[in-house]
Parts: sequence; structure tokens; C-alpha cells
Amino acid sequence: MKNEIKHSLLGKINISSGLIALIAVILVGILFNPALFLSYQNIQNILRQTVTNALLAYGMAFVIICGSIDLSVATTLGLSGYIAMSLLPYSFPMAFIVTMLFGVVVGAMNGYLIAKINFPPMIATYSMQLLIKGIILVITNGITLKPQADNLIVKYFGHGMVLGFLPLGFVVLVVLYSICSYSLKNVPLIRNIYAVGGNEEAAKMMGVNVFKTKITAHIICSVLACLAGVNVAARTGAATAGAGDGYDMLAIASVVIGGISMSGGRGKFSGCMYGAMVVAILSNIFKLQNFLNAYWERAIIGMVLLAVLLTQVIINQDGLKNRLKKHI
Amino acid sequence: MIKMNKIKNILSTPLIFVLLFIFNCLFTNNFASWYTVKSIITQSTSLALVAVGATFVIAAGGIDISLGSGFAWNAVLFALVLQWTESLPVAMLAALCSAGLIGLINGINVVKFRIQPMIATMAMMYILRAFAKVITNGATVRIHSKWLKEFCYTSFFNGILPIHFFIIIIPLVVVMIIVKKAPFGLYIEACGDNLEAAKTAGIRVVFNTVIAYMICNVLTAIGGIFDAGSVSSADPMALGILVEMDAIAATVIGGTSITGGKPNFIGTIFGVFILQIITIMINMNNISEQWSYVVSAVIIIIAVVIQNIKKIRGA
Repeated sequence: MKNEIKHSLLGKINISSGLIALIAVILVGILFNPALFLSYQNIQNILRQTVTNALLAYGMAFVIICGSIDLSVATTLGLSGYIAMSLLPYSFPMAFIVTMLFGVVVGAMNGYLIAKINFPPMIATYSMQLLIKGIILVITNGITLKPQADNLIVKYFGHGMVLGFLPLGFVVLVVLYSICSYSLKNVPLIRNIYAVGGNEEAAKMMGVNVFKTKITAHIICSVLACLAGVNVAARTGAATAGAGDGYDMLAIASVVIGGISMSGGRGKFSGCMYGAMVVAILSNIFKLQNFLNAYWERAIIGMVLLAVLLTQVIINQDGLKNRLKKHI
Repeated sequence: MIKMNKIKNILSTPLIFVLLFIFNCLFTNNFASWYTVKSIITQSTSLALVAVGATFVIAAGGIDISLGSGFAWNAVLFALVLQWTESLPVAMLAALCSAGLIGLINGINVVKFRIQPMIATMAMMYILRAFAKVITNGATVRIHSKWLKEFCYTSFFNGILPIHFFIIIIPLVVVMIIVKKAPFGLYIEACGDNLEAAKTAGIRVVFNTVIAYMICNVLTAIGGIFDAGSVSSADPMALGILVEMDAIAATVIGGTSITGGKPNFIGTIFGVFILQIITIMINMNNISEQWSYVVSAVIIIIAVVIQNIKKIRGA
């Protein structure tokens, strides 16, 4: 009995490493400049920045739990923003549906290459990234598209508020979070993602349709990337060819900081939400200071990522666990 | 029969290259000349060095996506040290040492601390690219070295054979000899195939994999120095962008399994040539450069499909 309690306690320590990182980052922000960091405007900014990060991180979490990876989200984001903004003047539902369909097609292609033709996930999604990047450049010719200011998506998804203080994007995010974490626990097809990521062969023998599961994970990822693309276009008020550059790595970083295992099959979905907030707050704190120039930002994100990873390793290794066990 | 399979494995990538070459000779104007071959060689030199290194790491079961940033960082470091000390050997040594150190850190993070290789090197990628920008304040650093510039444009036999050929061939031969003759190659392959089994068999897993990462990063640094030297400047923003992905793509096209195992260095070199011939093909046919992304993607997909055809039929 006593052992069980110990185990559950230790389990909680492992699971909430993302939350620990989040608290740590918030503390750093408060210690650094409380008046500025906790101001109304700044919190709004953090929430808005979280939306894009988190939408990508949600999708990436599905794919990574499935034992795969998606490097094409950044360019998917770029092209989807462009599609949405160029179709919007004609009809709102059509723009939305076509953009989401685009996500489904990209995800299905990724999933098909990986699950059916046995592509290494990195190579499949990398070539997809090249393909989409080429298509963006061919279509746009490198020109930035600026939607009109009275545009519905820009008005509501980008700058809309719920109850006067919550950005609409953030509310969408929370709703999506509940849908995702509910379906990861309760919808069989999506729950199978854990099984496939944990041990593909075993899952196959248990009768799980590996092909279908993988394709589903990739479609979810790409559709969420499309939503993120619409969000970026709405927030910045412009659709550019390079809109998503660097976001793929931030999404992976968010997922990893959240404590989801890169080898697949393990990790709580809530982690990627914390991870996305950590990344957003880090870059926010960085923008509030003025003694390091802008080039340091990526270096610091990289170092924090390494620090989090090493801490996770140390916590998960026997050393600290045993020490904690003795104390409890 | 086994021998036949081996020959098939070795020849499949060169075959794709030869097919692409013949296709271009037939359908692209002015393609069939020694000048084209020369430009394929000169333009793929630095990528070839990086790709040979990446093949080592991938064969050892890892992956290193910090190579592009390392490429830039080491070139920038080289240029700056050259400016401060005005001594080529010192600058060279500084860049190579820093590359070795980066490889060491990456290797230890991956093998000792068991961080996923992609994530550990991704953090390193961020850090190195940012350092390259911080140290130079984002500005391009000029390289004033007559000797280096002359070295980068040396050619032999009345300009028929550029020095680039030897810069590709010499490391390749050295690496091939190491892999074929020294036990190190076998150890790397064993680590890539099955880490636990290699450990049980008494192979020093950590030591060997770290050495693979170090070799990879040092080769990348040489590539970076060469690239910067040929244009007499090191640009922290533009150097080495997506080089790591091209290197990984070349390795996979070359027939080295991305999950680790037997390295195929000749295949990797031809993988690099394939990527380069696509770019040249696009340019010479007057197709706008943006299409090269699309064509590269399609060719990578086709190459991997051809290599996996047996598996697909089996499955």
C-alpha cells in the first residue's frame, strides 16, 4: 500500500515536468521585471503567441506519440495562411473548407508515404516540406498577401476577444485541447496512436490497423498546422511565403519540454500545452529585456531546451528516483 | 546470390545518377560537356564533406541536424580568428577544435545521457546559429587570405581537374579505409544496428559513437571553411542553411539506412551529385529556381521508393 503511494507520487513528478518548467519560466519573468511582465497588455501578448505555438505543438504531439515526426508543418502553415487569405474575399466557408482540405491532403500524403511505402518519417516529411515550399514560391512569387482589415478571420480569429479580455484564439485553443485530450483517451482510433507509437509490431498483432492510425495522426497534425497558418495570417495581418520558418523546431521543442517521449508511445498530452507556453513566455521575456541583442534569443531557447532535457534525464534515471524514494 | 545483392546495393544510386545524366545529355542543351561535370564537382564539394560525415553519424544510429549551423559557426569562427591573428594554421586549428568540441558535446548528450539524437542536435542547431550571429553581430566577415583563395581555385591538368575533386576524394578514401580496414567501422555498424547488443558484445559504445559525431563535425567544419574560403567571406545568416537536410537526404538516397547500420559512402557521394545535377538541370533549362524544391522532393521520393521496392512488395 505504502509502495503504491510512493509510486503514484513519483509518477506525478515525472509527468508534470512540463508544468515545472512553466512555473520556473513564469518565476523568471516575474523576477526579471514584474511590472512589465504581469501587465495586462503583456499577458495578452503571451496568450496570443501561445496560440500558434500550441496549435502546432498539439499536432506534433499526436505525430510524435505515434512514433513519427512531421517536419513539414512550417511550410504547411505558410501555404495554408496564403490559401485562406486569398480565398477569403470570395466566401468565408469556402476559404475555411479549402484550407482544412489542404491540411487533410498533406497529412494523408505524409501518412501514406510513411505507413504504406515505409519511408523514414523524417525523409518523407522533409521532402513534403520541400514540395510545399516550392509550391508556395511558385504560386506567390515571393509576394506578400495583405487581407483587408474588415476581413472576418482577421477581425475575430486574430484580434477578437471573448468576455472582453480573453483572445478568441486562446479560447479556440482551450476547446481544441479538451477535444484532443478527450479523444486520445476515449476514441479508439485515436487512442491506438499510443499503441502504435509504443510498439508497432505488438499493435499490429493485437489487431490495430497501423496504417489507418498513422494516417489519422498525420492528418490531425497537418490540419492543426493549417489552423495555425490561418492564425498567423490573421494575427500579423499578412500571408507571406516564409511565415512558418522556424516554427517546426519550436513545435518539436514545445512537445519535448512538455515531457512527451520522442521515441513514441509515452507522454501526457497536457505536456505539449505547457511546453508551448514555456516557449512563448521565453521569447516574450526575451523581447522585454534590452541588454542582449535579438540574436541571443534562439541560443537561449536552445540552452533551455538542453537544460530541460538533461534535467528530465537526471530525474528519470535511477539516481534521483532512488534518492527521492528514500526520503518519502 | 548474396554477392549479386551487394553489387545491386552499391550500384543503385550511381545508376540513378547516370540515368539523370544521360537524360540531361539528351534533352538539355549544352549539357554534354566536361564543363558541366566540373561544375557538378565544384558545386557539391562542401555538401559532399558534410554528407560523408552525416553518413558516419547515421550509420551509428544517430542523426545530427546541427550540421548546417555548425557549418556557419565554424566558418565564422575561422574568419574571425584569421582576422585577429592573421595566421591561417591558428584559425584552421581553432575552427577544427571547436568542431571537435561540438561533436563531443553532441555525442555525449546522445549516447551518455540518452537524449533523442534529433532533439539534442536540434538544441545545438539553435545555439550554434545564434552564436554565429551574436559573435559577428549579424554582419558578414571578410577573409583576407591570398593563399586560401588561390588554394580554393587551384586546378590541375590545364584546368581540367579542379582541386575540389581531390577534396572530395581524399577524405572519402581515408574514411573508406578506416571503415573497411580498422575495427572502428565495424563497431560503428554494430552500434547502429543494435546498441544494446553492441554493448553486450563489449564494444565501447559511448567512445565509438562520440568519435563518429566528432569526425562528422570536423568534416563539416572543413566544408564550411572551404565554402567561406572560396568566396572570401563568411556570412552567419546564409552559410549552411538546410545543408544538414541535404546531407541527410543524400545519405538516404545513397542507400544508408536512416535507422543505422552499414554506411554506404560511395552511395552518399552520388546522392550529393544527384541533388546537384537536379539544380543544374533546373538552371540550364531556364526553369525558375523555385521549381528546384519541387523537383528535389520528387526525386528524393522516387529514389527512396526504388530502394524500398523489395520491402514494399514483401509488405
